[in-house]
Formats: sequence, C-alpha cells, structure tokens
Amino acid sequence: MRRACGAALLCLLLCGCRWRDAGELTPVTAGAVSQSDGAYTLTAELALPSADSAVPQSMTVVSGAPGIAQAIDRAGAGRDTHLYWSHARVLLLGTNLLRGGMEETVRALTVSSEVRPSVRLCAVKNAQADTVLTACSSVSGDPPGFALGDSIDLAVSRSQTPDMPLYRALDRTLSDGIDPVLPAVSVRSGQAVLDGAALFSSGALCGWLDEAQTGALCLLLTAGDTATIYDAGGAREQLHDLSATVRADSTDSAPAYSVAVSAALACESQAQAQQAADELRAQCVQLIETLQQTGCDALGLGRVWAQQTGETDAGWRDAPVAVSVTLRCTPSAEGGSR
Amino acid sequence: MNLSQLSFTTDLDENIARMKQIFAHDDTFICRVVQGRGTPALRAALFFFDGMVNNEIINESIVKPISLWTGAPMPMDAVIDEVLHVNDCPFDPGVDKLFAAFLYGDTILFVDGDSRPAVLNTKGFVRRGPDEPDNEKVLRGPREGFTEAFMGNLSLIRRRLRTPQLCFEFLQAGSVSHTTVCVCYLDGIADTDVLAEVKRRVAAIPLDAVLDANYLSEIIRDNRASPFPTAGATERPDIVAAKLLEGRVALIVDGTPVALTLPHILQEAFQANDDYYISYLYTNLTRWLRILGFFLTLTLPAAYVSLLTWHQEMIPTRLLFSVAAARQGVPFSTFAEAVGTLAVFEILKEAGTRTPDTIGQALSIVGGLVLGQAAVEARFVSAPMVIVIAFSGVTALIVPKLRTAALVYRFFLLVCAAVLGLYGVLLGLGGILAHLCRLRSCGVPYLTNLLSGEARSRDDVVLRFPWFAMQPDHRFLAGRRGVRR
Repeated sequence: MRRACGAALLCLLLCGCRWRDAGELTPVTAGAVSQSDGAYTLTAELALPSADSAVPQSMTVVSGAPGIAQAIDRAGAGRDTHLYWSHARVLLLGTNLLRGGMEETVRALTVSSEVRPSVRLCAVKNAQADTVLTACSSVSGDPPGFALGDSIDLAVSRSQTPDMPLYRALDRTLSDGIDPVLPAVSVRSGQAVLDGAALFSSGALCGWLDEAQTGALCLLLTAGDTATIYDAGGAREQLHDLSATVRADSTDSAPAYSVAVSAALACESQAQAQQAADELRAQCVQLIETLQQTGCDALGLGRVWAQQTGETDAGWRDAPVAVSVTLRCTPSAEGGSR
Repeated sequence: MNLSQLSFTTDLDENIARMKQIFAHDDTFICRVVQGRGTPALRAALFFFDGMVNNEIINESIVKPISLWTGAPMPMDAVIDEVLHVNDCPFDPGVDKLFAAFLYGDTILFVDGDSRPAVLNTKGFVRRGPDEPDNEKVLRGPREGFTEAFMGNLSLIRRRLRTPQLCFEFLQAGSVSHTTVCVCYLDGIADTDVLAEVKRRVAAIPLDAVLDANYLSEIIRDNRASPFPTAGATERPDIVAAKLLEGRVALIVDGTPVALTLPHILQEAFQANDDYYISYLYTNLTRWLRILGFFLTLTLPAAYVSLLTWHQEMIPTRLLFSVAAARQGVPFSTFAEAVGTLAVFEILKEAGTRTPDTIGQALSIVGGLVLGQAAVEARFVSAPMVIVIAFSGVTALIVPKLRTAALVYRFFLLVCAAVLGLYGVLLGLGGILAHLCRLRSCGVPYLTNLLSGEARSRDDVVLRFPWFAMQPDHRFLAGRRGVRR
C-alpha cells in the first residue's frame, strides 16, 4: 500500500513535466514560404483564440532564415505561446523556391515533428507567397489561410485540382518516379484563387497548367468516380462513372501511348456528349503535349517507357500518344430526360 | 450484568424482584401481576416493554384468560395449554433465548410455584409498509420493497417462491446487538460450496453490533479494498427471488431493508431492476447504453485532459479553436481544472443526496446552473470542461451499482492521462481490467460470463434473451452442483 501511494504521488508530481496545455499553443493555420538570395522567408498565419468569441482572430508573423527549419523555429521567437503547426491546412510555396527545386523544402517540412504530413502544398503563381496568404479572404469567421485550405479540399473532392499533400509530394519527389503536380494559386482582383496547377520535373518547377488542363490531368489521375471537365466557354461539367486508363502499346519500332477515357455525362443528347468528348480529347492531347514538352512525368509515361525499352532517357517525351474519349449521355436533373 | 447466569425460583415475588432489578433503569419496562378467581388463585406476572408489544394480544389473550381463570394454580406447561390464547409460546427456552425474544417484543410470563418462564409472541412494534424503494424504482413491475421488519421481509420472499426448496436459516451476528441474519437459499439450486462459505463468514463476524447489511457486506465480501462491489445489495424482494433462482444465496439482516446477495459478479451491475419486466428489445438497448455510459464516465474526463495536454493534433481544428477560446483567461491547467470541477460536482451531488427533497431542487438549480454558469463567466473553469464533467457525472448515474468504482477510477484515469496522455489512459484501463480479472466473489470469478473462461450462462449477459429463449437450467450457478428439482 505504501509503495502504491508512493507511485501515485510520484505520478502526480510528474504531471506537467512534459505536457503542453492547449491554452499555451497558438495554432498555425497556413504558411507561405518564399526564397530570395538563398534566404527563406516564412510567413505564418496564426489563429489567436479570443475570449469573447469562438472564432479566432488571425494574424501573420514573418521570419527569415537560411534554412526552412530555422525559419519555422524563428517564427515563434519572442512569443509567450508555442506556434503549433499541426493544424496548418496549407503551405504556399513561392515560385523562386520551386524553381530551385522543392526537395529540400519538402524534406525539412517532413522532418519537422509538428507539420502534419497531410498539409496541402500549393504553388504560388505570378505573385509572392506571402502576398497570396494575406490576399486570402476569411470565410464564416475562419482564418483566411484556413479557408483557402477548405477551398482546396473542396476542389480536390471535385477533381478540379490535384491532391498533393506533403507526404505524397515527398513520395513523388524522392522515390515514386512520377513527378509531382501542385495546385497553383494566384491573386486575381485582390483575391487568392486556385489557378490551374504547377508542373515539376526532377523536383523543380517546369511549367503551369490552366484550369481546363488541370481538370483533364485530374481526370487522368483520378481514382474516384467523378471528374470535372471544362467546355470551350470555361463552364464546368461533371463526369460520372469514370474510367480512365493510360496504357503503353508496343508497336513494331517504339512504344506509343494510348489514353482511353470513358464516362457518363449528364446532358440532353448524345450529340452534346459527343461534342464534349471531342473537347475533352483535345484537352487531353494538349495536356499530354504540355507534359512531354515540359518533361513533367505526372502520368507515369516515362516509367512505362523505361520498363518497355529498358532506357531511362527522355525518349518518352517524343512518343506518340493516342487519346480516345467516350462519353455516354445520361439524363440530367436539369431537364436532359425531358 | 451477565444474563446467561441468571436463574429463577418458584417464588413469583422473587422472580419479579430480579426482573425489576435487571431493568431498573428502563422506564419502558412493564411488570403486570395478574391473579385468577380460583381459591387458591392462579398468580402470574407478565413482563414486556411498552411500545414493543401488541396490547390487544396481551389484554385479550393473556391478562383476560388468567384473570377469569377459576381453577387452582397449575404449572407453566398447563397454563400454556389450558389458559392462554397465544399461538406461539415457547416454554422454558433457556435464558439467552428468553431475553433475546423479550428484548424483541415478546412477553415473559411467570406463574407462582414454577421457576420455568414462558415466552409469548406479542410483538407489535411500529413498522412501515412495503413501499417501493426510492433507490430502485421501476417503470413496470412489482413495487414492493423490503422494510425494517425482519419477518415481513421473509414473507415477501416466501410469497414469491412457494416451494419447500426455499430455506431460511437464522444465524446471530453481533456480540451485543444479537442481530438475526437469515441465510436464504433454494435447496438444490444454490451452490453448496458458496452456501457453506457464506455461513462460515457470517458466523465469524467479529463485530459487537450489526445495524445494517453493509456491516456484513464489508466483512464477508471478497477483495474488501476493491471499489467494485463483490456482494450485491437490493431492497426488492423480486430481485432477491430472482437471484435465489439463479443459485445465489441471500442474507436478510434484521432491522434493515437491504438484502445481500452472493456471489455478485460484474454483469449484475449492468442489469436494471425492470430489465425483465419490459420488452427485451428495449432492455438490450438500454443495457448497452449502461455499459457505454460506464465506459464514458470513466474515460471521458481522462480522454479530454489527454487530448488537451498531450495530443492536440488529434483535435479537429475548429474544435481546437473553440476549446482554446473557451480556455482563455482560465488560470488553471486542464488537469487541475478537471480535478477541481470533478470535486465540485461530487460535492454538489453529495449535498443533493443529503438534502431534504424540498431544498434539493433549489440546491440543484443553484449548484448546477447558477454556480456552473457563474464559474464559466468568472473564468474559473472553461465551458467545455463543465460539459465534459457534467456529462461524465450524468452517465455515472445510469450505473448506480458501480458509482464507487466510477468515482475512484475516474480520478485514477485522470492522473494517468495527465502523466502519459492517452497511453496512460490505456495503461490505466489495462490496470483496471487486470484488477477485475483478479476479483472473485465467493470463489466465482468476477468476470464470469464476460471474460472468464468459466462461462455459466449466456442468455442474460450483455444481451437479455427473450423469456421464450431463456434456459432456466443454465442460469448462473443454478444446477451447478445438484439437479434442479
């Protein structure tokens, strides 16, 4: 009994030796990393709890350091609470940083014990990363960066932008053999908006996709049942019962690729579906040409090339690609069945 | 004064003097001398306590027959046979039994010329009716409850089990109080080993007085230090009857409405009184709720403290914002806040229990609403903590038989959570499980039918089978040793 009491007392004394109360934390909801002249600049959006409201107030802090890890550490310097990165929804990466290669950044973020592997990475297009972060608008009282994370989640769920969290970007960069593609964010009319995708080759930024091409890329990458395509006017249409295959067909001389897409489109006539199929096929061809030109092997074409030819050179970038798209017309709730 | 060495003479006046000397300081002691009409007359003396006897019996069945008796004096056995009109009057029972019965409302009778006293059954003290126990109310089903009247309690059981297998064996407990304890069981159904063990433990009770069943319970139950009850307690005769049918042994203690049942295993804690009187579908749903409720009452405060102090990454972001906002300005750590709020809740609960009903409602409002609201507004505690503790407290109420265990282990798990987070909570739960595995009740594993390999019945454990699917021969201990007759 005496030992048990002693153990209980010891446990009570140990309480608080390691714990960190939730009130001592300042959650970081989003971050932006840019690089210039070899120095990293980290902008962190903080959610400051307010005693009067359940909705936190947001503020940004900026730190600079020669390395990303040091920049993260320095961001919390001088504050009486600990910056808590686990709840960060999105990390915006500046164009300069991405052009130099994102491997170091991704590694540093992964090593950091508090940044969640599921945090979404975004490439910043035509703007400074911190500018984009401050240009985000608050939604329903959520901090702006947090709301941007929500909008990316929504776009991913609708296959409108690639799903590229930190762990997947690291996987692609280091081991997968397939190049990563990050959602791109730019500033339009003073607002941060999703704007296509950023292409990478060997870990470095090599090009951009517009919204329609991004939609087609998501369609080819998608593992889900639905995808979003864009018609010539830029309007979005939703595909269902989607099946997309990218296959290498051996010919007499060299490999060629065939891309087959089959899906159902809610429309009023088969002719309408055929028109959409033609547009989608053109987008796919354009997409693959862009990928081949930039050297971004986001679809794994290079890997298939290497498996079939035993060569690891960039020959896949010149291989012919045949795209076939079949869209079935299904009655739509908007009146297609009428 | 050692009453066992007392002896009486054939001289009535001397016997009267001795009795008056023994109870000289008891103003309720009454001596009544009655004389018959014969020549020579029959002289008798009655001794009884005011308030303990039925005056009508004494007047009509004892005083009147003797005073109208016209015959000659006669010995006590003849008086019992020919004069008195009393149904139960042991003759010369021995000094110990004589005084035990006398002190319990019987009347002692002496006649002149005979040194042997008779004990006349004249008990007539005030007793309350068999109302439904406040702590064990049911939605449907019998509403009778035990009272402090010992024989009345036995009759309530007898009325439900009209079989010669029903046995009542009386034992005495308490060297001063001489409290009668009835060992009640169904012959042929009760486990003989358990029965022998229970009798041995009751006989060995070292107390000077047994004023309630809990006196017995704390001494005869296994694992006395455990907060889990290893002896059942109920105030309902229908529950006792059901337990007897399952092969258990019941102990009815004189002067208390609480009956003990042994062995007592964990599954009984989750069985409600009216589980068997309402639809089995509803019963099964509520039984699972009780199990869930007990788990929640143990783990909810600990899990909350763990998440807020160790595993903030597991909290959904918006909830973290909300909790962090609510904790703004609270000067205590989450652990201290949880312990303090739990302590206040227990104080309020205890105050509510001890307070008369008329004040109780006001206390609930002041304690629960006003105090809680004021504490949150004054930033003594955060609103989420009040919600967690209140919910944990409310869920504890749906398993009242485990309230001690819930109270003790809730604090235990809180400390585990503060020291090691969710790992600590899991370790603590493992420790509690290990403790449960060690428990036994009269030789029966406490987790019988739940985790113990010694499963005895499966039709009333986590699910209550409908009555048409129940197998009476497989009920708990029933038929374990003998064959049901």
